[in-house]
Amino acid sequence: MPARPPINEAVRVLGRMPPEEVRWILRAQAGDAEAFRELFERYRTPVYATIERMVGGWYPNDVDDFAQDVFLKVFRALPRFDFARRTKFSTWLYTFVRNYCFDVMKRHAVRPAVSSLARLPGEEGDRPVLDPAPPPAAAAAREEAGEVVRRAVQSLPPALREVVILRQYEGLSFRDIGEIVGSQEGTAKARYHRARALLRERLEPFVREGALGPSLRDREAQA
Amino acid sequence: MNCARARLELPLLGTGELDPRLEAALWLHLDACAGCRAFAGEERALDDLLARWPTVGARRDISREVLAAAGEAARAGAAPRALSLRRAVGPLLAAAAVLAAFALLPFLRPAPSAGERGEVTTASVEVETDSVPIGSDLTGLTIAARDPFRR
Repeated sequence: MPARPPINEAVRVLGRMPPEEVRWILRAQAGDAEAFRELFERYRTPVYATIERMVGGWYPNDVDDFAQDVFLKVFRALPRFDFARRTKFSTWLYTFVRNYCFDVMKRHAVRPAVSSLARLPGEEGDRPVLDPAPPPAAAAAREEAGEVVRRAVQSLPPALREVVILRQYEGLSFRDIGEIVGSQEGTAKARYHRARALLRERLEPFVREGALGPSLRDREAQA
Repeated sequence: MNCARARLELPLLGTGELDPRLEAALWLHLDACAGCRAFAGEERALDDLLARWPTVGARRDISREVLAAAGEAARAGAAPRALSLRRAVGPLLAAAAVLAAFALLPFLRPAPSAGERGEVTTASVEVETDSVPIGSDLTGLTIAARDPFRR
């Protein structure tokens, strides 16, 4: 039987969690419907946004269903959430989101392709990744700054994309990201660094002209 | 601190995630290195650009389905455990069955065979052979071939 972490570790993790969240979890574990609602309300937006950024480019009409599935899984598993495991609830929750998105990508993978960009040196092996080409509907959308960014981020290999999304858009620490993606903190940091280098490369014209300048739509309107 | 390390740690600057000594070293490096200062500027511009990716948000309200299922899961996980008749009575039934089996044991023992009674018989003898056809009678004994796959 694996040794349980010392109690002071669990207390330290509890200290990193908002106190009301600890109460909601305990009450939800006892079957309190209102506590489930509180947890849902707190995390619905970030969970939805993460799913949308991870796989919404390919399945824009399914994001609601994906978010619903994730919450159902989380709430069904909530009785097994163990404070003594030293994991924050948000980290635990994002692990579900991340795993679900990867399942979606595997299940719905179309035209798997491996490119030099899509492979991380020494760690990706021959794992196929989604073709970076966006779906036709999205490609037909107007090329405004948000769309350019979306395409650039979604063209990243999944292992890099998830780190960018969790760090850049969800503001998680590298330590939490490491826990979520199942790697060391340093690995998460290195992946983020690598992802940003690729993004800088792909978005170079926009970065160089200054992101605070007029958006493409504005420039189009002026033209 | 060299440039590679400084650029790796740059996203952590001012977030509270860096060790204070490392953060001080990073500031010192940025003060001294024009290349890394330019890199930091590009990083800020990239941050601004990345912030322009909006999310659409929910198209329909999933709260009703999610919370209904959560309620069901909670009820299934807690209430039936206490109320289940099978859970309460099951161990008692199992114990009763074991006791009954022990009580009936003397009546279930088979009657002693002729051999056990010390009588000599000329009953058929089962011979293990693969070469002799089933039913051959070579020595006046009944021979039965053994199925090699039967144990």
